[in-house]
Amino acid sequence: MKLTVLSGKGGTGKTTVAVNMALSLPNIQLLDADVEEPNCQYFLKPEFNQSEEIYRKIPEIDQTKCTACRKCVDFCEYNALAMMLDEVLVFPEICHSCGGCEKICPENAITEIDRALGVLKHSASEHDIDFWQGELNIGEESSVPVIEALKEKMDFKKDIIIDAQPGTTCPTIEAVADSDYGILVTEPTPFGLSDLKIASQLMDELKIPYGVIINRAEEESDHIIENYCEKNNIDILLKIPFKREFAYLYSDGIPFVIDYPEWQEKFKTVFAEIRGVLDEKNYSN
Amino acid sequence: MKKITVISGKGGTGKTTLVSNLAYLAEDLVLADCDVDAPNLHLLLNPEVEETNIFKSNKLAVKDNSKCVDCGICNQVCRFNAVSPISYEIDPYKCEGCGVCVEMCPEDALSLELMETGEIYNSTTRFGPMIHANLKIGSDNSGKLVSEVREKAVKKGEKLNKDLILIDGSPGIGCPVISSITGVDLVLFVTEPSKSGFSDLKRVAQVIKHFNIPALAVINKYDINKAISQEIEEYLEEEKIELVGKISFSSIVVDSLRNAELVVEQKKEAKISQEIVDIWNKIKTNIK
Amino acid sequence: MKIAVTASNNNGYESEVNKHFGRSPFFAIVDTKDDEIDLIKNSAAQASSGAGVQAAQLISDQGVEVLLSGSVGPKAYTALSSGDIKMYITKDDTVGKAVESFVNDELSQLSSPNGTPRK
Repeated sequence: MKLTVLSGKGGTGKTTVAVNMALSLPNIQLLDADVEEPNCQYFLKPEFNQSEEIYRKIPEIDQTKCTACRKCVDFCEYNALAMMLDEVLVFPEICHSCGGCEKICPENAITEIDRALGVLKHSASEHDIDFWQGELNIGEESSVPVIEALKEKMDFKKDIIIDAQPGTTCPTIEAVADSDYGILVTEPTPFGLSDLKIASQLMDELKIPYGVIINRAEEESDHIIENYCEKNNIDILLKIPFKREFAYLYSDGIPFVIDYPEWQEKFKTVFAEIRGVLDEKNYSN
Repeated sequence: MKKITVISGKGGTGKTTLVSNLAYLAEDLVLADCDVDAPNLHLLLNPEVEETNIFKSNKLAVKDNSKCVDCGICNQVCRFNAVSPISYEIDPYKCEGCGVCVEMCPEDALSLELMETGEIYNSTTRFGPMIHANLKIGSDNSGKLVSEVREKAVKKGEKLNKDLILIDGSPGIGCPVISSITGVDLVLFVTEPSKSGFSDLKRVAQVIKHFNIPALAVINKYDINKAISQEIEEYLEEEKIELVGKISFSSIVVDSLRNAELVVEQKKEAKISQEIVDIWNKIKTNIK
Repeated sequence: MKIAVTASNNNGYESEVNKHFGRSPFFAIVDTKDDEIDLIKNSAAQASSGAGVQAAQLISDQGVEVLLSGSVGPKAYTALSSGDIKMYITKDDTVGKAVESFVNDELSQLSSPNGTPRK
C-alpha cells in the first residue's frame, strides 16, 4: 500500500503523522518528499549509509561552432540564454533543463552537461524503518526531479508512507500522484479548514481516495473541520488531541508513540481502516 | 513608506496570526498576502474584494487532435513526462511550457498557450487596502504572482500616501520567499522552538542573508521548549538578528483563532496581547 | 552614443525614471548625437522568469552602450557586463534629468549588482 501524507497548510502535523505512523507499523518504507525542508530526520535520527547525487542537464555552448544565429536564445521560454557581443550566455538557475536549445542549434554547438540538483540519502534507522530522504540543493527551484528520483526507490514489498511538501503545488502533486490513498492532516482552525478545502479539491481532481487526520484537536474547535468533512462525506481517520506534552516531544524531535505506546494501536487501526477502504474500492471496481 | 515582510521558513509558526494582529495595532496600512499558494490572511481580516484581475503567466502545450497522427515524437522529447504514452495527451500539471514538443512535432499539431494561472484581488479591510491572490491548483511560478501582489501593494500605498506596507510572506525557502522580501526595509522572522522550526529558520535566513536586509525575529510559543528557544536566541545573536519578542503559548490565542478574532482587539488585557503590543513597539522603533 | 533609461511611463524626457531594470515598463532610448528620444515598451516586464536577462537582450539589441537605472539585479548585471554596456545609478526623477546628470558626469558607475533579483 502506498500512502501519502499531505496538507494544504504547513505546520499542521504532516511529518508528525508520517513518522509516528511509520513507527507504529511493521515493514514500512518512509520517503521524505518535502525536499526543500526534509524534517523526518529530526525524529528518526537516521544514520545515512547511502547517498546519491541527483543531477539535471544544462546547456554548454561551444563558442567556436556558434555562428550567433540566435535560434537558441529565441527558443528559450525562460530567458536562460542571451546573446551579448555574439556570444551566447547561459543562466543555469533559470534553465528548466528542457533540452530544446540543444535540439534546435543548427551548428551542433550546444551540448548538455550535468548540474547538481539535489541528493537522496538512505538509512535503515534504529527503528527498523527503511528511510529515504530527498534534499533539494539551496538555490535550485525544481523539486519535482528530486521527488521523481526518490519515488524510484520505492520498495513494493513494503508498505510505503510518503511525507509530502505542504501545499498543493507541483512537488506535492508529484509525491501523491500515484498513491493509493492520501492522508490529509489539518488543524481545527479557520486556516486549517481553508487549506484542507484546497487539498481535498486536489485529491478529488486526482481521483485518489483520502481521509483526514485532525492534529491538535480540541473539543471546542473540532467542529470547524468535522462539519466540513460530514457535509462532504470525508472520513475523519483520527484525532490527535492538543497536549502540551505532545508539543514538547515534537519540539525535541521525539515521536510521541515512543512515550505513549497506546497510540501505536491507534495508528494501526487507521492503517487497517485505510486498507479496508481500498479493499472495498477494489472489490466494487 | 516602509515595507516589512514577515516570513517563517517553516509553516505553522504563527506568522499569519501575528501579521493580522499587527495590522490591528498599525491601524492604517497596506496589507499584502504573498502566500499565494495557500492564502490565509483574509480569514482574520475579512477583506472586501473590489477588483479581481486574472493572472496569466504559464504557458502550456495544447494539442490540435485533428492534426495529430500519433507519431509519439512529443512523448519521446518531453523531459517532464507531460505527454502520456498511448493517447499522447498533455498533463497540465507536468507540462512546463518549454515548447520542445511544439518545435519537434512534424504535423504542427502542438502550440504553446498562455494559461490563466490565478487571480489577484484588490480589496479593502478595516485597516486599509489589501492585495491578495490565489494560484490555481497545480500552477507553478508563484514567484511572479508574488511579485505582482507586491507591486500592486506598493502602487496602492504610494497612491494613498500610506506609511507602511505589511507583507505576509511566502512559506518555504524558494523563489516565492525571495520575491516576498526583495526591496523591503525590514524582514521579521517568526519562528518556533522546535528542532525542525529552528532548522528551517536557519535555512531561510541563509537564503536571504546576502540581500542584506535588516532583520528582526520573534520566537512564538517559546515556552513549549525553553532549551531550544535559548539555542535560537544564541543563533540570532550570532547572526545579528534582533530578537524583538518571545511570545508564550496561550490558549487565549487558540480561542481567538477558533472564532476568527484578533486577540489584541478582543482580549486587550491578556498577557499575550501585551507581548504583541511590545513587539509592535519594537518594530516601529526599527523602521523609524 | 545610445543611452537607455528605465522609465515608468511613456512621456518623452518627462517620463518618470523607474527604480528597477528588469521589469521596468519602458526604456527611454536617447541618442546623444541628435538628442532623439524613443520610448520602447519592455517586453520583459511580462516574463515569467529571467526578466532582467530579457531586458538586457532588448537594450543590447538596440545598440545601447550605457544604462541609467535605480538598480540592476545579478543576472541582468552579468548580461549587461558581457555586452559591454556600462551601468550607472541614478536617483533623478525624470529621464531628462537623468540624462543630464550622466552627461555632466554626476552619476556613479555600478561595479556589482545592487538590485535584489525579483522573479
